[in-house]
Parts: sequence; C-alpha cells; structure tokens
Amino acid sequence: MATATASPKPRTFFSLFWRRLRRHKMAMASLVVIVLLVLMALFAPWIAPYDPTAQPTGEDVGAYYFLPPSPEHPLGTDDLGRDVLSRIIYGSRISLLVGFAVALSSVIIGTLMGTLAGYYAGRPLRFYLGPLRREKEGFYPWSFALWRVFSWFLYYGVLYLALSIAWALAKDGIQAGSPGSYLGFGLTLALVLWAAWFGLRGEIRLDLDVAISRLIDFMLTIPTLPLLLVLSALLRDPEVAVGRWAQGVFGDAASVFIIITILVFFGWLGTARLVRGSILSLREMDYATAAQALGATDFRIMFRHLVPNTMAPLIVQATLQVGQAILVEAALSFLGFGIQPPVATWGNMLTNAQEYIFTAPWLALPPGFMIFITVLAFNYLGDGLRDALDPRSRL
Amino acid sequence: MRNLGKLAVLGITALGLALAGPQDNSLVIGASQEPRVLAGDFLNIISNQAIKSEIEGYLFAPFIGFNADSQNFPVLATEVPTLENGRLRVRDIGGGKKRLEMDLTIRPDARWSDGKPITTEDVAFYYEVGKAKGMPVLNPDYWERVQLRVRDARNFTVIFEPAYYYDTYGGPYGSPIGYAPKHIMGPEWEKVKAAARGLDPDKDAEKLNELYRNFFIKFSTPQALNRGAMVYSGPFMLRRWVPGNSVEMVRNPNFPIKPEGGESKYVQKVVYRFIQNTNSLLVAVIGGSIDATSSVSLTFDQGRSPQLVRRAPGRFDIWFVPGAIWEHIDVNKFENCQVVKDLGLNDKRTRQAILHALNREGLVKAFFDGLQPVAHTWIAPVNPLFNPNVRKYEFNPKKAEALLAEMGWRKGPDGILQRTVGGRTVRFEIEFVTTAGNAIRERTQQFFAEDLKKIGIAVKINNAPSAVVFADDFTQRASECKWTGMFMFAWVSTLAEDGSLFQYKNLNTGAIMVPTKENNYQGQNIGGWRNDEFDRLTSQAVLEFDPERRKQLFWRAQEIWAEELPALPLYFRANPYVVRQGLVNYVSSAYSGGYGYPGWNAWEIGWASRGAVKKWDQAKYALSTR
Amino acid sequence: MFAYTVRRLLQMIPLLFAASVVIYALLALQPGDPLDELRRQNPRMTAEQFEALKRAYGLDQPLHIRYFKWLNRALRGDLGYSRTYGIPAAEYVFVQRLPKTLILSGLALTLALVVAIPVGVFSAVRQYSLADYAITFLSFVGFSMPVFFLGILLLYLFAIVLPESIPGFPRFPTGGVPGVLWEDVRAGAVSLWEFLGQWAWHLVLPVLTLSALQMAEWTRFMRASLLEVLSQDYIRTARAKGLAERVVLYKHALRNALIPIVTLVGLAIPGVLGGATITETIFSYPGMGRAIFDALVEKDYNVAMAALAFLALMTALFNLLADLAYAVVDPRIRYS
Repeated sequence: MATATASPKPRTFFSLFWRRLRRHKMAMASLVVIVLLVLMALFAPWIAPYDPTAQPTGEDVGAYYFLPPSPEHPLGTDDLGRDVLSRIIYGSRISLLVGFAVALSSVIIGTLMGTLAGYYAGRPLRFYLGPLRREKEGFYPWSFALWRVFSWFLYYGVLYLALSIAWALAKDGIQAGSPGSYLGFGLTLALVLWAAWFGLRGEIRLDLDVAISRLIDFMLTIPTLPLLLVLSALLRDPEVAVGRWAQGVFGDAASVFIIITILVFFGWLGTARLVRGSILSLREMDYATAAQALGATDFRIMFRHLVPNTMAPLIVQATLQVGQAILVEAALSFLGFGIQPPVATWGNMLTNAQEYIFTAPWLALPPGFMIFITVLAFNYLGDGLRDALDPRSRL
Repeated sequence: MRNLGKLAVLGITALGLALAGPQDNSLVIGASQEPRVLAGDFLNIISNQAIKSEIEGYLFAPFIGFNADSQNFPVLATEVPTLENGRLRVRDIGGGKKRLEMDLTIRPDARWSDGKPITTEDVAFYYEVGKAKGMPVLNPDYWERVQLRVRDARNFTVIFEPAYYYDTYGGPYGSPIGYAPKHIMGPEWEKVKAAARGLDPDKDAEKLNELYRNFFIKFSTPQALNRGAMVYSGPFMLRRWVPGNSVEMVRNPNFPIKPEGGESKYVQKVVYRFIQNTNSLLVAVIGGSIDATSSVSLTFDQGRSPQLVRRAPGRFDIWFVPGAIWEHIDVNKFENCQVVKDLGLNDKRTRQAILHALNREGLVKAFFDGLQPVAHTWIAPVNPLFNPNVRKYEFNPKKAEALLAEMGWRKGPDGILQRTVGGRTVRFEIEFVTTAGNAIRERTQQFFAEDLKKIGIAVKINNAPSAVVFADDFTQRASECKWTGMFMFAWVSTLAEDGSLFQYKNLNTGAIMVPTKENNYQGQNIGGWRNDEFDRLTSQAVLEFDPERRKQLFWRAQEIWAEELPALPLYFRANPYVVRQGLVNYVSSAYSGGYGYPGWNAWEIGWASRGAVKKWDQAKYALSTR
Repeated sequence: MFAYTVRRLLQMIPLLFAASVVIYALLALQPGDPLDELRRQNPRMTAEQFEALKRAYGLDQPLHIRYFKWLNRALRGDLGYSRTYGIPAAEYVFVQRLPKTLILSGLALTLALVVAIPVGVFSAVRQYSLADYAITFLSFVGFSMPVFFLGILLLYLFAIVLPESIPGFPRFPTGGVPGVLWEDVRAGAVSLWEFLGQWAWHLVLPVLTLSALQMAEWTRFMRASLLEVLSQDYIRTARAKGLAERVVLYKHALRNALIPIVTLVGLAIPGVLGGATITETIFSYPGMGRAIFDALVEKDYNVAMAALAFLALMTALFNLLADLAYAVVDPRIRYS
C-alpha cells in the first residue's frame, strides 16, 4: 500500500545546520564535553562524593592535608583536607555560570548597542529643542508637543546641574590659584553661555553611531586593570549601596556577581563592533528597504529583520566569549581580585595550588586541566558553528 | 639556533659561577624584594622597607649594635653607655617624666670607606638634616624628644627629654643614633638649605618635600651609587647595583673591627640576588645558586615544602627563627554598634568563649608542625617582658558552649546559636575579615570557621585585598561599624613595647589611642578596649629604666590582658632561613640587629672551609625543621 | 581621507582628556591613602604631625585640585616624581620599564607573527590534511591554556625537573634580568655577544609563554583569512588563467589575506606597550605591566598616571592608525 514517492523531509534551516555541524568532528566532541560539563554542574550535589567545604575533624587533622590521589580521594585533598574532586565538580558550577552569564549579557548588550550604532550610522536623529524652533519633523510626530515641553525642562535642568558643578569646581580652583583653573573657569563660562543660547533655538543631532563608537573607543582606552581594582573594591564596600545589595542577595557569592558585572562591563565592546559592521551592510539590503517602504518602524526593522541575520557570527562570538570569560576569571583570581573563598572556582583553586606548588604540585593539575578543557571545548564548538553557519565553507 | 651552543656555554658558566660560594669566598643571598633606594636615604624618607634596612646593615655600622642575644654591644663606639660606667644618666624632671643622657665616644679608628675619619661632625650633620623644617620624617615624635650636644671631634652626648626605656636600645630601633657623611653630602645640603630659606613648612610643604627628596635621591639611586656617589662605614661597600637583578658588595678595608683570624678568612663579597616571585626564588635555592636567604624571602610554607626538605641534607640547613610578628584576631568592642551588642562582643565572656572554641593548637600543628607556637598575649616569648604565667585558653568547645549558654545563647533550629536581645531574636552570625590573597590567612580563616560552626557560630567571610582592608577608612572605623566582628591580621611586637596597642589613653602624652571621630581616627587600639589599670601600668612602665620594675609592671598588664582578652591571640610567626652548610655566623634571632635581620655581624660571616671561626650558633635562636 | 584623519585627531583630544580624568578619579577613588601604612606603623605620631606629612605629599587637597595641578604640570612635560622610587616618574616609566617591556612583548609579538603567518598559510593550503588538523589542534591548545598555568609549568619544567632528570641539560634562569649592565659593555668589561647572550637566555621562557596565545590566535586567523580569500572568484580566475599555484598564492591571495592581519597587529601594539602583568609576575621581569600594577596597589599616583595616560594615548593613536591602514590597503573602504 505504501507509495513509492515519500514526501521530502522538510529542510529547515536548523536541520541543514545540524547536518553540517555533525560533520565537524571536533565540534561534536566538544559539544559532548560541554553537555557533560553542564550535567556535572547541574547534578553536582548528587555526583560529588563529599561536601566541597568539608574539612576533616579529629585529633590530627594535618594528616589529611595534601594527600595524593587515592581510592577515597581520587584527586587527593587540598591544603585544608577538602576533597579536590568534589571541589572541581562544584567549581564547574561557578565557572560555567560566570562564563554563560558574561557571554549572554555581553551579547545582549553588545547587540543592542551595535544595532543602534550600525542602523543610525550616517543618519543622525534630530531632536529639536526650545520654543523658538519652527520645524515640524520630530522623532515621535504624535507626541510632538509633549516632547518639546519635556525637552525644554530636561535641557535646562541638566544645564543648571552642570552650572552648579562647574561653579563649585571653579571656586576651589580660583582659590588654589593655578592658571589652569582660571582657564577652565573661563572655558566653562563660555560653554555655558553658548549652551543657554542653543537651548532656545537649537537642534541636537544625535549621531548614535558616533556616540556609541566613541564610547567604545573611550572604554578601550581606559586601562582595564585599574578599573577592575577600583570596581572590585567599590563593589565590596558595604557602604556603597550596590555592595550592600549584593551582599544581601548573594551572601557569600557576592563576589561572583561582582566579577560577572566587571567582565560584562568590558565584554560587550567586541560584540558591539561586530554587530555594527554587520548591520551597516545589512541595512542596505532590499528587504530592509521594502520593510521601510511598508511603514515599519525603525525598531521593527532593526530587531525583526536585521538582527536575526547577524545571528551567525553572534553565536560564534558568544561561544568563544564563554571560554574567554572563564580564562579572565582565573586570571583575576591569580592577581588576587577574583572570587573569594570559601566559594570554590577553578580559578581560585589554581591560584591556591600555585601557592603550594612545591608542597603538592599535583594540586595545580585538576583545575588547570578543567579550565583548559572547557575553554578548548568552547573554542572548538565556536569554530564548528562558524564553519556550519558559513555558506561558503565546504562542510 | 646557532646561539644554542653559545647559550649552553653561558648557561653552564653562569651555573659554575653561581656555585662559587666557598671557592671565591663570596656569599649570595636571595631576597624576594628589591630595595628602591639605598644608602643615601639615611632618614628613610623615600622608603623604609625592611630589605633596605637589612642591606644597609652591611654598608653602615651603628655606634651601638644589637646582637642575637638582644644585648647592646659597641661597634663604632668605644663602649656601651650604662649606668655603671656613668655614660648613661637618668634624671627625674617632674611630672613623672625622665630625662636621659647618653655619652658616646667614637672609636679613633672609625673611618669612612674613602679613608676619612668618622667624627662628630657627621653626627651633627645627621641631626641637622633630621631636624630641618618640614622634613617628612616617619618618626617625628623621636625628633622632637632628642637633642645632640657635641663635646669634641670624638665625643658627643645624646639627650632624650622625655625619655622612654627603649631609647637605650642600640641598633636602628625607634630611637636611632645616626650619622651621615658630611664631607660627601654636606655641600649638596647647603644648596638645599639655601633653596629652602624662603619656604614656609605649612604653606610650601609640598615644595619642601620635593627639595628634600631630590637631595636624598642624589645619593641613593642605583645610577648614583654605581658612580660612587656615597661612602660607607660598614664592613662592606657597595660596588654594583643592577636594578632588577642584584646588589654586589665588597669588603671595606677601612672597617675597624677585624674578625678572629684576620678578615681574609671571611667572605670578601656579598651579593644580594632579587627574585620577586617566591616560587622562582625557591627554585633558585633548590638549584644551588643561593647560599642563604634574606629575612624577606621565602614564605613559611615554602620553607617546609618537601621539595626543599628532601634536597636539604648535606647541602643546607633550614632554620625557623621565631619572630615578633603577632598574628591575632581583633574584635570590635564598640557598644554603639548594634551587632556588637547583639552578639555580646563587648563582654569578655563572649571573647573567651570564642577563643576556647578555636583549635589553635590543632591549627599550629596541622599547618606549621608546631613551628609557630600558640600565642597567649600580645608579647612574644622572645621578648624579655614576656609573662608565661597568664590565663590560657586551651581548645575546649564544651567550655565555650557553657560560657555562651551563660549569656543566654541556645541552639536554634538550623544549628546556629540564638538568643533574644531587646525583644528580638538574634542569630550568632559574626563577620570575619582578613586580607584576601594571603594564602595562610585565608586557610586559617576557613579552619576557624569550621571550629566555630561546630559550636553553633556562623561565620560570614568578608575579605578584601590588603590595600582595601588596611585603608584608614576601614581599619580605623570600627566605631562606625565598618567592620563589625573579627578582623585577623598581624602587628609587629617590637622590643620597644609600650602597650600602645591596647591602651585607651597614653597617660604620658595624653593621646587617646582608640580611633574615633573625636580624635580623628588615630590610634592602634582599633577594637576599642578600655582598661584604666592597664593604661596606668603601661604608661608608667615606659618611664621605668630599672628592668626588673619594668618587667613587674608589664607582667601585671599581661595578666589583666589575658583575663579581659580584648583580642584573640593566635600565634607568633617564624621566619624561615635557608643557609648553606659551612657558612658560619650568618645568624639571626627575633631582635638581632634591631628588627631580626641577619648581617648585624657582617664582618664575621664566612665559610668554615676558608678558616672562618664560628662564634654564633643559629640553633640557639631557632628551631630546625629536622 | 585627510579630513577624516584630522577630524579623528581632533576628536582624540577630548577623548584623552576624558580618559585622563577618569583614570585619575579611579586612582583616587581607590580606598586607602598612601600614608595610612605609615601611620599604622608609627602609632606615636600625633595628629598634627600626620597633617604635616599629608601637606608634604599634597594629599590634603581635594581631588579636582590635585587633578588640575597634575594636568598643569603634565602639559608642560613634568610628570612628577615617583613616590616609591624617588626618581622622576617619566624616567622610571620610559627609561627603566618601557624598554624592557618593548623587548619582551615586542619579541613575543614578532615571534608570534613570524610563526603564525607561514604556519597559517601552510595550514590553509593543506586544508583538511593531517598536518592541518594537528596545527589546528595545537592552536586551540595555545589559546585555551591560561597564561599563568603555562608560565608556571614551563618554569617548573625547565628550571627544576628537566635539569635534574637529564644530566647536562642547561638550567634555565628563574626570571628577572641578567646581571650585566650596559655600562659594563661600554666599559669593555663584558663583550657585546655575552651581553646579548645573557639577555637571550633570560628571555627564552617568558617570551615563549607570552607569545603562545598570540601565536595560536594569529595562526587561526591567518588560516581563516587565507581560506576566505582563496574561495573568491578572482582566485578561481587566476587559476583558470593557468598561473602557477605559487604565483596565485603569493602574488594574489596572500596580499589580500594579510589585510586584516595588519589591523590585528596594529590593535595589538598598545597591548605590547602595556606589558604583560601576569607573565612579568611569574618571571619577576621588571616591565610596564608589573610597574602599573605595583603603582596602582601602592597608590604611586604619578607613575600610574604617567604610564596609563601614555597607554591611553597609544591606544587611541593605534586605533586610528589601524583604521587608516585598513582604508589605505583596502580601496573599497571609504571614509567621509
């Protein structure tokens, strides 16, 4: 009864992509490794033979320190007699959490900023200020009047704030008597006068591309190390609101939150640049023009049409960034600014092991190896994804 | 790749040179810190690092030295001023204060390395510079109390008013009697004085500071010293300083004290090798290119690492010299902090309970093999003022629980102690702060956290890097509840002990030693403890020049301290020293040279195989690992 | 193009100004005062004496005053004195530390380039061969390995384990710089060859450690770039025209494939100048990375500002150069 002609299997994008990925052997192996790692992290309490923070008790606790691998402790014990295998298993939770959180957040923020920058490149937004300007064009034509009034208040409010700050600085400066501060005062005054006049009949052309690109450049010129040190100290300070909130919500794991924040702070820059480049070329595409002709809002064009077409390199970037984040977390721990004990991460286990490298050299191998394997797996997977998603590669 | 052969040759020659030691009568000392300046900065204005003082011990000799037995002995002076020989005179000047006069005579054969004699002109120069207006000295209290009276070219008197007992200790302690080469640095100093003439120390403090620093810099940078800008008065002279690598010193023939058998039998060259990474330093030690380690080198754990110990027999000795660095946990006792009241930290019973719960004996055994013994007060066992008969708190969790139960604590449903305070239920959760990145401290913290968990105290760890934690607006602000529980760190317990760590008020100067807003957060009594009898005893003790009476006062003070327990004493650190076998007289003790450095007797360090005579035995002042 | 360059240069000025403000603020916002340590060590200092010390170091004035004072002097070329070393900050950063960093990081970068380009080309040309897989695997290993892990491993291996197990194996130095001064060479005490040899000997391990990551990354990049170029139509045309494979490769493909590498190298140079903190720590090498880190921790403002402001300037400059180079090399890019 069966007919000879079977209906062709639907060839969705995903099935095509999957078939191509399957041919990249190292990427598949990496995928398996990653899945195993995630499972290990998820089921840590059931897999780990001991509590990762459990220290031995009794008379001679010192006898349990720095034990080499044995049947009871397959990876030995560390400087406080804790089981290394259990700490590795629990450590995977933090390391993977940091990696995924940083990659995801960086990609989201980076995509947002990059899309805005790319889409509005060369097409500045116009904001009209003040009551003395007569044009009818505006960003939101249907809330035109409201916007004008609001912008007026906003503008002069900011101006007043800037004025008071400048005056406070200038006052001190004049007292100190350095010529530079006289100059500064003079410049500020001129700036303020110009800004006041501007507010009455000016138009602000906000070139989002320039703004965001310059912001990216600026953040790249700020050296990461001092920023890390300062942020790290500030966010830990119980006086600072963020620090207190972090302590309250996360307790011991507050430093994890802090590290994630810091890494995301710099992590979105690369993605933004990448996305900007893609969007720049994609917005000239016919379907984008068609959508615009059909009256779609900018927002819809950007996020419904353009961004999905940038997904390929984004996914690759995100995958690579997971590995990067794990490496940076380990490096921070090495310099003393990472995640604090008793939370066990591969990074701080490695740093600790380095301290005792002459007492128990084998302690450095498990965390170092795990970091290496995880990062390797993510890098290979990213490479495989890149090959699978690139129509021109020969998979 | 052509260079491989050449590299191999160079490598092997370097290796060969490194093993010289007894062959060429030299000594290579490994240190993990490099001094930033040396020699010319005689007031420690630019830097007051320990390694600088240690190396300068080879280059400059004091008038009165401080040996391994913690005794004064004359170096460049003819004899030690004592009450017996009349060179030391103590007089009451009313108000409980004393005036101290010390007469010193410079040895007639004391010379600088360029041959010029050392005279009182050099001493006067030192005091003139130290007392210059706006000089940012680190010990201004000393400079305000001290005066110099020159008698003639070799005799002078130093007057302290008001005087404290530690002014009589020799060496570079808090009251150093110094000198500097006037014929070398004098002309430059005149220029500085001329430039500073019109400047006011209040308004132009920064300019003055720069002037002075530039003055010292001219005689202390590697470039300057390599050009021979300075002269030296100690057993060695600086020949070469390769920044980032080493300092090379050679014997000074003009040094007056000759060791037994003639100086040719003792080391002719001393080289300090700087390797910042302590792991790399340990590698160098194991590799045999280092003959001895400095006081600033290996960590305690490295000194005990199996890699080192295994290769030691027959090659070198590993000594652990008990030191005067006191590891302890300070407790916030300010009652205006709600947490302190809730947890009862201001009540001595709580603190006693916590100390009973901490297995210090177990820690010391497990971590240190007993080589850093448990402390019972803040005064080190090597200090002559040490009182062994104070109340001790052995590891006894039952006692701890009983004490806490007395204060109303009962075990809650989650195993953590609870009690009601002012109608609220309070859990015993205490904050525990220490320096992040310090492996031993973090390890200790985890160890103690377990101990406390067993009796129902939950510990909230809150570490930060030392720059953050030791900042004034953290350490000194316990009164504002910046840190609300336990704070673990170390103080140096010097011989110039005056109890100021735990005084509320120094009755001699009137200064309040507890940091609060009122006194601008000054003082080292950061936990905030007040015991008037303790203040009375310690304030009187510093004025006591009779060692027996002084000891009695301090003994009573320690008894009070051990009973009231304002802080939790942990242990006294020991410094590891690795010394190649055959090297004699490279000995340090807790206070040798003033701060526990070797090199206080640099002129008699030598190799036994070259004929050096052993006078000092390290075993007397240290514990060995075997 | 010219207008674009001028515009970017002008935009750099407020950028650098803003960066210097932010950096200074970051330095000053760090908790702790450089004098805190002094006060803790000497409890007998009274409050007035402490205030006098503060005045002497200019630390009694508010942040913005200190910043403007610094800016005033910096614009006149005076970067102040290092508080920890006593010598002028400019001398410390540019004479003592920067050359050493240039040597280490520069050598590492050069080594990475010299290895990455030929190996990447080889890998791309022999795509899917065994050699390609091996090289790919090694590249992945290279940039998945944490730098400090690699450094410690190399140190342990070449300075302890191998010299002990294999007789005659040269014992590598544990870091630092050699004990010969340039003055010694000038004075004739030490020959130039020996001087260079000692330096080379000390630099082997750190350079290897540092270049591993870049080498791996750039090999992959070179391979990917060349592969992309090789799949282009004009290459197919060149082959169809009958040109020898070598000509196709070196005359047409390679030059186009090197374009993005140029950008990469340009962007990596400020990294070279900034030093490699971790590698310098492991090998006790006195370079810029370590200098910056130490200055930050000890709050030696002048040194930190001098070094960081210099780095900011270099980063901005090389970003611009990289963009310009890209435009010059690729005629399709047009800047308005």
